[in-house]
Amino acid sequence: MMPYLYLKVSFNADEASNSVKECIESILGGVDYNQNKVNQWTASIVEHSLTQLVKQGKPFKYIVNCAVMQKSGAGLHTANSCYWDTTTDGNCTVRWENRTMYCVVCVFAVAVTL
Amino acid sequence: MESGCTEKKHAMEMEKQRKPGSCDVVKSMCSPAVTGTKQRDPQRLYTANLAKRESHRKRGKDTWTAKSRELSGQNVHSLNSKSIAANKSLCKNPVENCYQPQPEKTFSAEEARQVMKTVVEERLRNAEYDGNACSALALELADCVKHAVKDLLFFERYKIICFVVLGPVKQSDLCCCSRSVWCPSADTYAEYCFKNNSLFALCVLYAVYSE
Repeated sequence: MMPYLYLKVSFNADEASNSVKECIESILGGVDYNQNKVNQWTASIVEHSLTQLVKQGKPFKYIVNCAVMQKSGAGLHTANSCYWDTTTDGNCTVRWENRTMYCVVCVFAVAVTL
Repeated sequence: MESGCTEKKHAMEMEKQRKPGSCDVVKSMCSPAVTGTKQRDPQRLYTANLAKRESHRKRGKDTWTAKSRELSGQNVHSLNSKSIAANKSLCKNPVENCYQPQPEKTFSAEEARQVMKTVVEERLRNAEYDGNACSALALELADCVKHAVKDLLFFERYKIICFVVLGPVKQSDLCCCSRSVWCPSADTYAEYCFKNNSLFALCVLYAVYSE
């Protein structure tokens, strides 16, 4: 494994986005919205995404946020504002939908420089 | 005269061939009968020559070292002594590192929540949901909350992330979940959910310590 202690690594949003998409697809792929299971789904999506991100072995602290909403014609708006080091930290947002629900996952990665 | 010169040449040749250890051979070569000159003690001669050679060698080395110092412009002895003294002082008084892995003042989630509540209620008190305008409203709200927490509550070395979800109040379900991998002793979060007749807003603020 590369020694990242003395290297400034920037966040790779594409790689994180692909990992998160695979997690969402594996949990929500082919299912319809179910109010009883949505808590369990969001928790699974977030935990699986975190596991995949940590497996990459990069020196980051991760925060993963997932919002699942039933499709009923209503809109949904998400926004984020960050105060950090733009050269090393980053985020990525993944939007996914199927016939019955929307899913928005946000990943924030904050570099650990020690 | 000619015989004297021949004898001297012979003696010089003998001296060249002289082996340092073999005093008896030297003695025999330097006997007055062969050289025709005063008897010279070969051991003394050898020792004197050896001493001369040694002094030449040492002098040459010293001269070369002094010259090299002059050329390089450095006093090698003084450099070595300085570094040795520095190392000794370091071993006696080790310098502490200046890393701060833990914050001096931990981020207060309760104070952040109070600030978020004030900002969100002031901004959305009379707001109504509008599909076109609410995307800009959500972004503006996130910026306002972040600036308020950053400027009013000054916590050193903390990175701040503000996340806002905004939507209409209708008969639809929304489930929001978040997890993180961080340092639980230094990092924390604060959340506030606002709702009026027209819209709802969920505001989450994460504070991550910069190690």
